[in-house]
Amino acid sequence: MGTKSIRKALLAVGLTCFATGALAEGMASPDMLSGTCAGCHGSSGNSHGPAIPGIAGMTKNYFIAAMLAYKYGDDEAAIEKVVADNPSVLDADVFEALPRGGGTIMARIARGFEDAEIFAMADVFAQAQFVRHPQAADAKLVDRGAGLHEKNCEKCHEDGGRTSIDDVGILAGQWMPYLSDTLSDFKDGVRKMPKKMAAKMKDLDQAELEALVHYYGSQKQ
Amino acid sequence: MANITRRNFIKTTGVAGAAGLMGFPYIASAAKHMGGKKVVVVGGGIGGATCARYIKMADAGINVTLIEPKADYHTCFMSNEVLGGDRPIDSIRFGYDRLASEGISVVKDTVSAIDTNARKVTTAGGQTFAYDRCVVAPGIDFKWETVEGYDASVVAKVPHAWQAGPQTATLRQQLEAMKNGGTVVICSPPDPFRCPPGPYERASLIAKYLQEQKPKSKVLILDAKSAFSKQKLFIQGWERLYGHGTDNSLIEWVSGEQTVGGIASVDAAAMTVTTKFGDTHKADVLNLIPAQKAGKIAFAAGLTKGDWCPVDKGTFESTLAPGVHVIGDASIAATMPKSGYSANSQAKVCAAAIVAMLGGKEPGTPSYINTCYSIVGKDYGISVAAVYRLGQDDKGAQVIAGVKGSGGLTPMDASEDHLRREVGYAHSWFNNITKDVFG
Repeated sequence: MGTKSIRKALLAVGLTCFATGALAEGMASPDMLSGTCAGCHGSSGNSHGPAIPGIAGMTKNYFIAAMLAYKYGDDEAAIEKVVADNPSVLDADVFEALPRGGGTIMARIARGFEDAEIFAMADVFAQAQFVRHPQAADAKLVDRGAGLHEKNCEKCHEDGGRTSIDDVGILAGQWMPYLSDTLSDFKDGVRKMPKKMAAKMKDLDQAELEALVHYYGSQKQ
Repeated sequence: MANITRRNFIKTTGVAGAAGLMGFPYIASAAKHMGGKKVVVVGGGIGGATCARYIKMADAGINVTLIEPKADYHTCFMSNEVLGGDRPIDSIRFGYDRLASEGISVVKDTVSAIDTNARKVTTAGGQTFAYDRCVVAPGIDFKWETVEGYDASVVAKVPHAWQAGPQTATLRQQLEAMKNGGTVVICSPPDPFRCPPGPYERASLIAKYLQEQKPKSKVLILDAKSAFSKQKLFIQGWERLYGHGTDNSLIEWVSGEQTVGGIASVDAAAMTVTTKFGDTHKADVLNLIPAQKAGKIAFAAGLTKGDWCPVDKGTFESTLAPGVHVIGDASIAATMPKSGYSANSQAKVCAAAIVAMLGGKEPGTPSYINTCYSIVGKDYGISVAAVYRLGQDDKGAQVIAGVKGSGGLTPMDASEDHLRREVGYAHSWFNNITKDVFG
């Protein structure tokens, strides 16, 4: 466990509270800000689906990076500056797997928030627990997906994709239509990804991706 | 410790689990010291129910009473899917059991008067409720007098269906009973009104139904306005899906310039409407959505200026009656549209302000949002979104202003996949916001 990992682990458990400092004067409270997300992502970030993902339980780093990637799109310089200004919170490599700007609804919304507001919201969702809802999954595909996950994904998406601790999206119990759309985006090259993931993704065909969707969707615990 | 992963490190410390269980840490940590303070919420729609829940969540010690005449609420949003036959009406119906289980006192009655000096609410059933803060969320009422021959007695034949529920069912039945080759006339109201894109989503989903079941029929929109919400996106969708712009279009839109500002009169027996220009249109199904104003109780309580209720836009406290807050469609919350998500967002701002004020604190800085999806057809959704801040206009007056550079519409010429996903988002939004409002 390197220094960076320890630092991130401490962050994840909330033992450092100085990363973003106190709320800026005149800024809305974290509750007020995160309350604006609930209409689409569910109260406390737990979506009732079917296509909008739950965002509860995301690590701070992952949430902030995701919002900044939407907000700044392809403006790498803007992203690099925020990362450089907040070295104890953000890692540049997390941005490698995140969707960028464009005309998506999240890009339109993310541009409405100051960076400091995004940091404040991240605290709320990092401390909320991800709730898994029952979904109809095909048992055969679930079995196949379990094997595929273990072989291809577990190294980064640990514990069967249950956790965001390595600054990755929570997969287990995530909504299946969302997973399906997102995997298509990776497969089709619409969404960038880290080299290791791209190498794995190249070998997975459509049927295998569907099996993964069923495996993750079937996880209830 | 060399091989320990971060996950295991956290498991070992045991802290992550505890943090995870806290859910909404900031809300949960809010002080609970305002026992005995009374908040009365008038109206159990999107704004009222949200506000009641969020006050109770922030401080369980506050005595919250919600007064609503109906046993359950039908959401206006997604009621157009009911009209199109894509959704059962029961799926847009929500009750108040969850609110009651959370400690909110739910009273089924109609508020007949609010004494804003004595801080007392009186109901038609003869009950009286004292309050420290009152939230008025009455939604809309109709300016019947603006259309000759139209009033509440005619709606069984000519429904507006702009408050969802029985009239939604009536309009659906009329569409089902209509012959192939019939004309559905939708009269779209002047600004400002509830759900600006609603009439055009309605036209779209009725056209979808007609295309599938009664393809010789058509939808005629007689508009009071010369432009409408998401107009270019709707028109593009109608061109792609319903032959708009051709002789066989399932939807025809008549601008307010041609109607000279909308409908002058209706003859319910003859099923005709006459525009202010003077031309008369015969309908097989007639959906007349009249001009709107704040719900009845807002007028009775002296909360209105013109048709709507002026408020402090940071707290939604009435500028006419201290101690009373007005949220949702009835309030003047420019530049937010009168929408369900606006009402939900305003309710949270209002709830936080009320909790602060009851505790003798300055209300915090508000943050507002609105996202509005419209379903144009199968796998074809569009949206508009905005994030708002409290600001000032050129004259120094308060305004809830969209953040520059943010928000906006689905791009024109969006891909099929993009439009399909927006339908999924629309349905997810519906599932999530209704849970947020009604539990």
